[in-house]
Amino acid sequence: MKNVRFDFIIHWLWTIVFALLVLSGLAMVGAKYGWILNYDIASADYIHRLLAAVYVMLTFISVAIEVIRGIKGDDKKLTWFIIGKSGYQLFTFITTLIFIITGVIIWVCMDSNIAAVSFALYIHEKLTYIVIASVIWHIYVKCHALLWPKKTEAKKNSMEAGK
Amino acid sequence: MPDKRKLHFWQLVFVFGAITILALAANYGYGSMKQPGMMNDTMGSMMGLMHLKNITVSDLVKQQERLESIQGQAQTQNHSNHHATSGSFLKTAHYLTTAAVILLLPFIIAGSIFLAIVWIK
Amino acid sequence: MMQKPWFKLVIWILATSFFFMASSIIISHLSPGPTEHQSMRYMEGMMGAMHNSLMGLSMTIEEDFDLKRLIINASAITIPLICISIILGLYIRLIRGKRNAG
Repeated sequence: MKNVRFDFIIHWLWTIVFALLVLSGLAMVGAKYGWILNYDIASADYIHRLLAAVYVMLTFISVAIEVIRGIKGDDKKLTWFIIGKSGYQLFTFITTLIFIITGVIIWVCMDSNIAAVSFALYIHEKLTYIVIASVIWHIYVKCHALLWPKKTEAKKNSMEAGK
Repeated sequence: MPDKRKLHFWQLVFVFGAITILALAANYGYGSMKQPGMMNDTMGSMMGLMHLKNITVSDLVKQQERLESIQGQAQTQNHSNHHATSGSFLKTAHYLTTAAVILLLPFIIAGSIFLAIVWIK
Repeated sequence: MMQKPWFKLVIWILATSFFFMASSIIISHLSPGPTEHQSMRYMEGMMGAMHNSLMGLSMTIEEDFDLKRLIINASAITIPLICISIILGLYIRLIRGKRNAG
């Protein structure tokens, strides 16, 4: 346990929160989607909003860490981190920003600016599809994580995980 | 695929692909059994029906706005009165989550602008 | 850590859940339009969310003075924060450029 790294923990916390967010969010997309949570939109909304706060906090922590590393000039690549300057990390960073900004628009303007809300909802929803597809791709690229540990392979995999 | 390491991925793909196709087939069978008269309609009215029924959240919100503007101020008055009586735990959760989201957003935006400036070559 | 059986199980559950989401999106998107019953239940669910969940409360933000003030404060600090971050970012780049040159 002692060599578990911070970026590793953030990665998996993030994954769990995102999975629950998508599940609860999908149930609210439309009448065709309601079966996912048995049309219990109230619970879906509740879970979605509570977890959205957690999601924003996790994002804030990661951005703060990256900013501190940027100020220190620390160029070491954090392999497990969710945001970064290239590849899938950059993609996650951008999509997360869009998710959070459109989500806040939906949250705050629900009462006042309906046009903005419907536009933000449109982006929020379509982006979800793109991000789910990208997560599947991410699983494809990293799917050696799905291999069940065998005694012979355990060493090799752990070396790769630490790379 | 000869790659042993991607085996589990393809397993998942096949299992869920099969589930998807079966569910879609079942849905179509069920729908056509339930509404046999639907295909008798003209194409135009069918499209109209479909679009009316394919409501997404955004349409709902738009509808709500219309309703509210029609019913005017009295309705919103009712609205807030009603929610004042609802559970205080919900209210606390509402305050905490909203405050967290709204307060952290400026910092996140500022941080990402900083990162964008530092990262761009 | 990655080799612990329980952690493998977590990874498997998460991967499966993402596959479930993808297939549920495809199913929902391609399936025929919702029946009357489905639309009704969805509308009922939405009404339930309005009454018993945070969605209804977020509709009252406009009348809530504390939250309104919070929003105004938050949007007031946004622009200064952005300026600070731009200046800081340019400063860091400048320092690094000098260090690389020197």
